[in-house]
Amino acid sequence: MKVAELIKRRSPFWKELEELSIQMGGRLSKVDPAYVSRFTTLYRAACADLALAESYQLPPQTVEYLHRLVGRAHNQLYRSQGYQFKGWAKRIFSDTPRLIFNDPCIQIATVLFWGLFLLAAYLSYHTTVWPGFSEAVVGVDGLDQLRGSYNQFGGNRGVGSGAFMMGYYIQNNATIGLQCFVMMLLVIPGVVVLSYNAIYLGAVFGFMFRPDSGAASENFQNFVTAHGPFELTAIILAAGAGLKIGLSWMMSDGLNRKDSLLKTARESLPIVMCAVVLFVLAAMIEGFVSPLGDFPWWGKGTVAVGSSCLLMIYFVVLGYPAAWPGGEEDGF
Amino acid sequence: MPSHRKFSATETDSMVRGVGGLNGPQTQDQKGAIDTMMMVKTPENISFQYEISGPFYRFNAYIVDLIFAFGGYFTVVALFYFILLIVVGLVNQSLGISAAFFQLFAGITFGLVLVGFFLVYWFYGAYMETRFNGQTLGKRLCGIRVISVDGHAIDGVQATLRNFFRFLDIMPIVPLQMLLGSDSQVLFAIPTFLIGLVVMSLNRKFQRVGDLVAGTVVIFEEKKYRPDLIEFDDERVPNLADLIPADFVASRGLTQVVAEFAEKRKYLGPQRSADIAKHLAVPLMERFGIPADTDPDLFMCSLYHRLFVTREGDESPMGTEKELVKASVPEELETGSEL
Repeated sequence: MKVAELIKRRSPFWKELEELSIQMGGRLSKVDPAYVSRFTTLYRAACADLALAESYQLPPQTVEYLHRLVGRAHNQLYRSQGYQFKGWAKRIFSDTPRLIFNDPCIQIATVLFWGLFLLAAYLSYHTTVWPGFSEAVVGVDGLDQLRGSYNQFGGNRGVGSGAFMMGYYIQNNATIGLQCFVMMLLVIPGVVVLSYNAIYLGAVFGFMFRPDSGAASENFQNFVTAHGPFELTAIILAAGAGLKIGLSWMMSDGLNRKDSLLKTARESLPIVMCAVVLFVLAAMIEGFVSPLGDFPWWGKGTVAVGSSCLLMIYFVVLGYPAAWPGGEEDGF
Repeated sequence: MPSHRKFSATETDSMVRGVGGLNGPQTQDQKGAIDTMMMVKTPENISFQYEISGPFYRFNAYIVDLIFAFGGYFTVVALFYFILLIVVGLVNQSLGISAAFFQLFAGITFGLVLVGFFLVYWFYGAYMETRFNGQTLGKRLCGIRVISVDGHAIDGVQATLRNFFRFLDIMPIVPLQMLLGSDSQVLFAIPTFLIGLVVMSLNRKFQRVGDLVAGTVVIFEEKKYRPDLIEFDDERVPNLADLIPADFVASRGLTQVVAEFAEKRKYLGPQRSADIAKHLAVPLMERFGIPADTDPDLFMCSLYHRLFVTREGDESPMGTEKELVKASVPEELETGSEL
């Protein structure tokens, strides 16, 4: 058969496949099975044409066209699977906590964050150990502002402003958390972000707990108690998940660096999503419960203890490995 | 020894592979080095290529997405408040709204707007790429698509990861204050995209940081290609083709080289294409007894015409042409089940 004739004979099928690919690419809902069946038949034929292109001695231009055509149809045939909600319950309540429980990177992030936080708080609280420490970290204006704002604190802010602050805290804090996660890929920038946040928060806490802070100190404690557990844990989780990815391509553990990166990134995503959820929970508490001035302190303490207990159940009870070295029956 | 066998087997082989290489792992490397192609092997055991999209083309898609996502979001928010204000105004006129209720409403909607901004900023790309099979609106308009490095469609995890790590790709972010001097009150910051650009130029698949983390690659999809043969307007082409002996059988390599030349000659000037053509054309013309003063470029076109348009198929190594045709076209296609 002449090549020209062959191309002429096949072109209608190729064109039809192209048309179907375009139609299926724009689809938003299920496609008629008849179309799918026709599509796969055409796809197989095009695949066969491409495979036999050399035997047919097709010119390069036609081969190129077939490459595009098959590629395009392939992308419609093997479409993205979307978020598969079925496996989510297991992933959320079994796989992720086990992953977190076992993870050395999250332990490192925890130690780093709490260590720097407590150190900064200590240095800031005791004016004699490192005079001017809190001023150096937060700034004189910042400290004045802080004390001023907590002096006035105590009014009941109402549901409207509570909702607004909740939105603001989600936007602000979860963004910081995700940025920290992303920066951790290069380890050093991420560690800087995490350390900065730990030292800054530590300095603020130390300063506000000083006995000379007066009413501001009391109000501050009243404000931060309720949402503290969720928020601080969320920062640590985001940073730890990022650190996992950052270390994976440096210490690839027998895999090639790229594969190690891919594998770990896939594992880390549920952890960082868990952090985002904690940020949202923290923001809800911070928006609605924390600013309540007439809410007794023990009530907020109860919220804090309750949320800590929830975290404990999630990380330890759900996270405790079923059997060493279990938790990897199916992997991610 | 026929003169057209002047090309050694490896020479013609590499020429052929450079064009439409079909099999073999080395093809991928050779081709990738020059043409930014990516070879994919499907479950049907077919190998085909994707053309990989480069940073500047992808930037267009990114700008479209940026305008669509944030422009769209702010438009929706503005419209929402516009309508809300009208409604509130009307209700206030007739019933009267207490300040407390107004405050409540304003607080809740502002909060929602902020949450929405967070979602659009971090999850727009992830959602679109998962929902629309690797394409955001910008990518769709630009005819590019995200796929896995192994050629499969991306999943939700990959889409989310590659969009999270965009934050690293746009680094370093330069505050405008730094350029304008510290007195200026401008708080706007410009993302420079330098990390993304450098990382992309350091690997063959133009993967940015997000792509490396998620194992994805961005390919061209909707570039226009035509399957047809080249047609020559020149009347002398078929006439000259008739002068080529009927018993001449071209090797596979020669066929590919002639096709390659015919497709590329439109990019060359007449002098240049004659220069290139003569290396193959002159010995062949000598062999066929065609006058030596014939334009070598014209001769090559005639040869193309002879090989692809008028030639009857020769024996192929895998069976007769008819068997092959039958093997590749399923019966339902031939009978034509129309939809």
